[in-house]
Amino acid sequence: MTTLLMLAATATAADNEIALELGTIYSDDRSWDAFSSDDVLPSKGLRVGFGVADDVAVIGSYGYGARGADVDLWSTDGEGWFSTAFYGHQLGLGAKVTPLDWRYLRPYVAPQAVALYGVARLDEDTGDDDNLNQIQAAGTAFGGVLNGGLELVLADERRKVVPAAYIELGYGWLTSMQLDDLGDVQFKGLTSRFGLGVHF
Amino acid sequence: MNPLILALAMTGCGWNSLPDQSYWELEGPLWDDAVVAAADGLYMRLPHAGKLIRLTPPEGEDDPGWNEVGAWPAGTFPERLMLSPDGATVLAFGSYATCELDDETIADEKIESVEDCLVEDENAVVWHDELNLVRDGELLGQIGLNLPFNTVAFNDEGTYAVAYLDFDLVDTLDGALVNPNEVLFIDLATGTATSVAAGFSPERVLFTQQQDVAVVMSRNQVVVVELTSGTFDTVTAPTTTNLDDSVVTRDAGISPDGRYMMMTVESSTDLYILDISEPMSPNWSLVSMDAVPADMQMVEGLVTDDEDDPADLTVVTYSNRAQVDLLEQKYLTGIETLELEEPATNILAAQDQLLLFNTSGNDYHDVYLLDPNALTVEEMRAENRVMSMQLSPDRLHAVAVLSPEGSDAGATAQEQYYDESYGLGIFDLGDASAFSLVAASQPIGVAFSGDENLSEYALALLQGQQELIQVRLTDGGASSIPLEAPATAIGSFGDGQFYITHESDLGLVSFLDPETGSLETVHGFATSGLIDDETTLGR
Repeated sequence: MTTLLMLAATATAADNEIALELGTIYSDDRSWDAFSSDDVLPSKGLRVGFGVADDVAVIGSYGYGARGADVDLWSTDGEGWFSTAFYGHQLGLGAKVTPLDWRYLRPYVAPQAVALYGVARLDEDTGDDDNLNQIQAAGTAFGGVLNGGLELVLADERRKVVPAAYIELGYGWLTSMQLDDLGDVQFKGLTSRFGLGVHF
Repeated sequence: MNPLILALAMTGCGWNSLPDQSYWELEGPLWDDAVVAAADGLYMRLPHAGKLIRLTPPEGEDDPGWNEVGAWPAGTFPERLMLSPDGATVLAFGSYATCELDDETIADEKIESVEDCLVEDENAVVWHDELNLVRDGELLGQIGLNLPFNTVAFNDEGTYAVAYLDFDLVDTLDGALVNPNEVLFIDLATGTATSVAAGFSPERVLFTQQQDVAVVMSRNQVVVVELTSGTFDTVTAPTTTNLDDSVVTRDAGISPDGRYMMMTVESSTDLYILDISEPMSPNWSLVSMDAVPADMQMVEGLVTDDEDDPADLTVVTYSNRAQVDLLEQKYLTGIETLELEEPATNILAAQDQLLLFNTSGNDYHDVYLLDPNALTVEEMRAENRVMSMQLSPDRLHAVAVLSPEGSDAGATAQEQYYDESYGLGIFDLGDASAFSLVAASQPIGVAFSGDENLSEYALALLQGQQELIQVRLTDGGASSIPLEAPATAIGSFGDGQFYITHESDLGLVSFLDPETGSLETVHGFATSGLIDDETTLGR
């Protein structure tokens, strides 16, 4: 019985966790129009957490997202064309605080410090891998997100590993990312995350 | 391996598979290939970003070959570039916006861009025109313009620039009431500007070689401006007394001695001559010619009947009359007429000779070499019609772009081949000989080195061809230099180097050193400021 209670405790409040994660971070910066007509950078990645106290876990995350656009240049001299792309690599480190130790549905808050490394690419002929105008620029932005989440954990005292899913909404703010000579772009606003994984 | 490349490779993000979920539309090109070739490099507008950049041949791998003009004011959009005659100063017409809201609103609403201002009040954005002087890649100074001037005329020495509004270059005029009756005399040494009333719609400005008088041609009048006193005194000489008439200038020039201003006008056989040596009493003389002049050229001191007092000539050709007339300026009479076999519409001044040719598009092939001393004409012949003609720097050769044309019924196979093709005509002005080369496509640019020692060659670009053709003028021997991309224009700059602009949306310019044959490219410059999509407010 003691063993079962310990297992239940292991897979509840102070769990370790790992999850596949989908996320978005918002940008209403007009510069972002160069890469996406939607005001978000979606990402897919991984989140891991390590329980350090009954209601606190340290979480780290990595997300990768790519957006791109075909660009038309209209003028009296004719039409021009090139492609843009943005690749974002987002690293986060923070805490997940679960104040209410409910059995299955657990609300929590998750503040995270975030670093976003972005790579922009411009290419005026994607069919020619050797053309001179394959332009690449990179930059990094730093900031944070504060999300509130709700997690569903299929807690079962008989199992060491239990499935879990979560959804988060919150606000994120990052510094402007200077993409060399291209200009800068800033991400700030609504963030969301959705994950599927396990607690153990 | 670079971790970034590794990360991108792992996620399947090669250059051939860029994500393309979206669509972005921009108005206009990112760069303007109508560059200004100054002594220190090429100056180019980036219309989308609102930047002015200078391109130079890269010096080493770390040199991108371009930089933004220093101290260029944020928010100023360069709109038209001009180059002073000495090649040292670039004049850039520009415009910038201000937000005409009270300071409190601007501070409270954090208005920093044109877009912010438009959100607050769509009528609060006001655009201003200015003229920016640039030298050695740095902004020298700015002159505010109270009129939307768009072009500049320079005197030969490059000490004065005259800004005026050319209606041929205008789509729309901003402002409720525009007064196009002024020109702006700018002292390029000091940057001081003086406004001078010059009549309605000034359309051309000429200077005497002595630099003491400028002549501004406006609708139905000519204004003579005295330059030596610094007060810019003017005298007006109407070209017609009938207000219902419209006298439109076709061609104009000032005699080398600075005494006469001569002009031809549309649909008139008269040559208008104004004595500007006595500017306080302008008096037109009209000399009736045999037909409506097509071109006019003034020639200095070439008549040697009196070696101590060589006379100046005015040479006139006609589009529908096969003759050339030579008028001795000293007497304004005594027209010498030389008969031609075909009319000539254009005149170029070669070395001690004049080159006469026809670009009307009619079926004329003759090119004439007129010796105004001997009053003789030698005939050369182009295989096809002449579209344009350029003289080599030493003015001993000329290269014409020739257009395709229909063949006569009895044409030989060789003649038909020539007729169906574009070509280059090479004219040796020393011995009045010519030969023509057949081009695979339309020649879109011909350039000579500015170095007279290298004027043995001409460089030609052909439309859609990814190579530069180097033609030896003595025998037409041609070789080709491969290019990175099809070219759009060619020109020379600096100490004899060439530049070539290419078909490219993100920017591509090549620099050719004719002595070594080396070709260096500068690329990607048009992406500067690409995603900065807010328009900064000006001062």
